[in-house]
Formats: sequence, structure tokens, C-alpha cells
Amino acid sequence: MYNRKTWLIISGLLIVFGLIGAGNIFIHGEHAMGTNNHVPWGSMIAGYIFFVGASAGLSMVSSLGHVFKIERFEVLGKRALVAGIATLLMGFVVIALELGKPFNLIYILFSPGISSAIFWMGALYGTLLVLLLAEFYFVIKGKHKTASTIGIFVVIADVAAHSNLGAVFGYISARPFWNGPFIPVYLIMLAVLLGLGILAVMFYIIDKTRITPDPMMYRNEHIVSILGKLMALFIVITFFFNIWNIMTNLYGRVPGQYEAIMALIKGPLSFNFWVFDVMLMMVLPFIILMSKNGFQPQKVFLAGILTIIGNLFARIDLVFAGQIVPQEYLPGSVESGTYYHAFVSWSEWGVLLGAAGGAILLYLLGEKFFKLDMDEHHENGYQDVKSGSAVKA
Amino acid sequence: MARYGLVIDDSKCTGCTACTIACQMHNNLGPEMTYNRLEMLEVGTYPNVKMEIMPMQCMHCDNAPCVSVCPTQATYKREDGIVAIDYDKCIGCKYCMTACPYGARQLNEDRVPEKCRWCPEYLEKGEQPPCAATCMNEVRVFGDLDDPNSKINKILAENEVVTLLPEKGTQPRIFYVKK
Repeated sequence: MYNRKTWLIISGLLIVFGLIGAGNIFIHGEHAMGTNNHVPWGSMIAGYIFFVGASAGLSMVSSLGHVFKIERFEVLGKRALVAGIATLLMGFVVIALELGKPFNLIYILFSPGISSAIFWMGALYGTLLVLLLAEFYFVIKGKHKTASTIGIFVVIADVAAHSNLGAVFGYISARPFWNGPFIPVYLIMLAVLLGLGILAVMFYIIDKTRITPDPMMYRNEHIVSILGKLMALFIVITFFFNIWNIMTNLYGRVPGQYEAIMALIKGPLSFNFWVFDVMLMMVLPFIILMSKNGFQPQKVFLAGILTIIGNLFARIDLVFAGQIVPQEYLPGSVESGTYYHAFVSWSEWGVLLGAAGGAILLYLLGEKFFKLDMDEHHENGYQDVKSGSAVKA
Repeated sequence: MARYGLVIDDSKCTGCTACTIACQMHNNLGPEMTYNRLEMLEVGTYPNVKMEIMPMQCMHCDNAPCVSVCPTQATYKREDGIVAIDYDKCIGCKYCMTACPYGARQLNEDRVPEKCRWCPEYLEKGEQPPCAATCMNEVRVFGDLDDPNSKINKILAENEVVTLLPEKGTQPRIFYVKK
């Protein structure tokens, strides 16, 4: 399963499924989606924030090496950058398919609505893409000082863009579950956890395929194991975010917030919430990582896969939970426990999986056409996997 | 320049839905689309229960969330207070749909979220739009809030009125006569 051809076939199949789903949405519009007038945002919005969140997470985690100069993370550098660009581009593809009239985006330039968080989303993500491409250019050219300087701005732009994406939800007073500062902060947490999961899976496979001479060991510790330790930490942080979000919303019984939380814990979203958001994203990976020899690369790999899947569902549930609670125009006008229905259609699954396939394909192209191995400017901490001796600087 | 408003006395509403049908006919809407609707509310606790009818549509808010969230100014506030849509600028992001606390928006087949227009082609001639003109009980009265002699101002002076969800800070231009 680790060779290049297998991944090309997997990505190809996913892209074909994606094209069929996208074609169906293109022809039938909203009828091919699981959304409606009551729940206008669905899994495509969640998918978009998943892919751009992956990009943000990859940038933030890899910045530990190339921006903050923590030597043991330097091996992530170029590959995380390529994956970050690939996932960002796929996020743009997903949102373009979600938009009813994507070509009218040109009016963001000619008549910008500067009070709109979506305007700033476009501005910040546009800037981020330019910065990421510039950083990649200078990294490939071997101009590390320039790349490193741009890298600082990439991290700033990434955090700004992704937290602003949270503000797209946070600003909306009509949806009490979203309204407030929680989602901008929570999305950053989810992004870091997602970035760690993706990097753990990526570097486990990269190590297995032996496509790079880069040493995966740093002072007797595999990079995937180090990522696993960070993953465990961020699972705990994400868990606390969830706990207090639930507790405060339940305790205060604020209309709209309380019903949304009830939808998650025992309502129409409860299966997704307990199975995917809680078990797959947090509990099972944490149990795996905390078990005996839990930070062995193959266990971190498994934990990474689980947390990536859970992370997608956490975003879908976040988007749905804010909208399925009927709006109450007059006190008592909505019967407690009634919810609007929304779902993820097969076409939407197609687009999400197709975008994943697209990201894999773009990454494979990056591996094929660019030299993504480490430049030997690191110091003595890295060790050759076989000999265990320090790699010459 | 007029400053349009609408007063609704829902205690007079019979629930005949003529307003909804008149709106659909005038705006060439399909049967599944409507810019105004009647919310049937069950009020009270058994056995003291009654049904109240609440006509709902775009409130043409002075502090309209749909205007401030629109990334391309496709939704904008006219000088006369009408919240209008420039269809050519709409990107179909549906942000206005999620931001509206009154559920006023409906997606059309072109994937543009539409809503009540307050039919300026009638208001500008001093006439009532189809939803009001067709009503047998004068539930809706449109008019110029800046004209002291307008019928709407007389109703506002004679009755106590409320707006929906004032806590959202949207400052609606639709006033409901308090029952």
C-alpha cells in the first residue's frame, strides 16, 4: 500500500468520484445537496473549512521547524509546505462548488463589502496563497533566509485567515450556537490537531516508502512519535474546549445554544457527535497514544487516521448544529426538541472525497517535480535510521 | 426621499394566504417559493390554547445583518430604506440566509437567496403592494414614515407596536400592532 502507483490509483478513483459529485451539483444545484432554506450551509462549507484548516494546521506545525527553529521539526519543512498548498487549493475547489455563482467573486474586488467576514476571508486566503507560493519558490531555490522570513508571515496569515473563518460563524447573532469568540479559537485548535494527524500519517508513509534519504530519527526518537506526543497534548486541549463549550451552554440554557448542544448530545446529531467527534477524533486516538508503546510510529499513524476522520465530522456537526435549531421569532413559538433536517448527500461526499484525492495527487506531483528532501543545514541531533549515528551537517 | 415602513395588525389576519399567493403571482414565483408567509403559532397551555397567525417577511432592517455580511454588496440598503438585491453581484454564498434572524431568505433556482422586495414599483406611486392590496382586512399598511399625514403614521400613533427580536439589534422597519 505504500508505493506511489497505489496512491495514484487511490487519488484517481477519489477524483473520479469527486467529478461525478461535482457534475451532479453543477447540473442540479442545491437539489443535489443536503441543505435547504432553513439549513443553507452544509457539508461543503464544513469540507472547505476542513481543507483550509488542514493547510493552516500543516503550516503551524511545520513552522515549529522552519520558523521557530526547533531542530527536530525541520524534517517536516518542504513536504508540509507542499501538502499545505495542496490542501489550500482543494479547499478553494470545494468552496467554488459550494457557491451558487462563483464567477461573481470578481465583485469582491469591484464592490467589496468590507464589513463582511467573507470578504476578509477572501482577502486573507488570497494573501496566504501568494505567501505560501512565494515561500515554496524560495525554499526550492535554496534561499532559506528569505523563505524563513516569508514563513513568519505565512504563519501569521494562516492564523489570521483561519480564525477569521471562525469569525464568519462567530459574528452571526442570528445563530446563538455560533455567536461569540469560541469558534475562531476552536477552529485553530482543530486545525493544529488536524495538521498533526496529517503529518503523522504522511511521514509514517514517507518513512515506509523510503522515498527520501532524510533521517526520521532525532536523538533516538522518530518524527512520527514526536508528532504523536503533540497530538496527545492537543487532543486533551480540544477535549477541554468541548467540555466547557457543552457545560456552559447547558448550564445557562441560553435559547438556541442549549437546543444546539442537545442536538449534539442526544438529538439528531448525537450519533455523529459521540462516534466521530468524541470517539474517533479524541478518545480512541488518545487511548491508542497512551497505551503501552503508544508513541510507536504505527500506533501514531493509526491514531492520526482516526483523528483526521473525526476532525471532518466535528466540522460538519459544528456547521449543522448552528442551523438546525428553529429560530424563535416570539417566545414559545418553537416547540422544544424540534429540529430542521439536513444531511450530507452522495454528491457532497463525492466532492469531499474528490478534494482529498486532489490533495493527494497534487502532493504526489510535488514529490515528483521538486526536490523536497532536507537541505543539510541542520546540526547534530538527526540520526541515520540504520546506523543510529549522527548525520553529517 | 420617502422612508418606507410597514405596519402589520395580525389580529385581523384570517389566514386566507391571499397575500402569499398575490406575492407569488406578482413576482412570478413557483409554488414552492414565497417571499411572505404566515406562521401559525399555537399559544397557551391546554385547555387554554389558541392559534395566532403571524405574517412574516423581510423586515428591511435599518441595521440589516444580511447587508453587513454580504461580501460583494449584492445586498444593499436603498435610501428609502428598502433592502434590495443586485442579482448580478451575488456570489451565492448564502451568508445572508444564515445571518437573517427572521428566516426571510429563500434560494431560487439560480442559487441566489431572494426575499421580499417591498415592491418599490407600487410604493413609489403611492400604492400598496399586492400583498397589502389583496388583503380583505387591511392587515398590512405600507407608507412613508416621514410623512406625518400618512396612514401608517396614524396607525403608529394610535396603537402600541412592537418589532420582532429587538434584542438582535436589527432595527426592523416592520411594526406589529401589539395585541
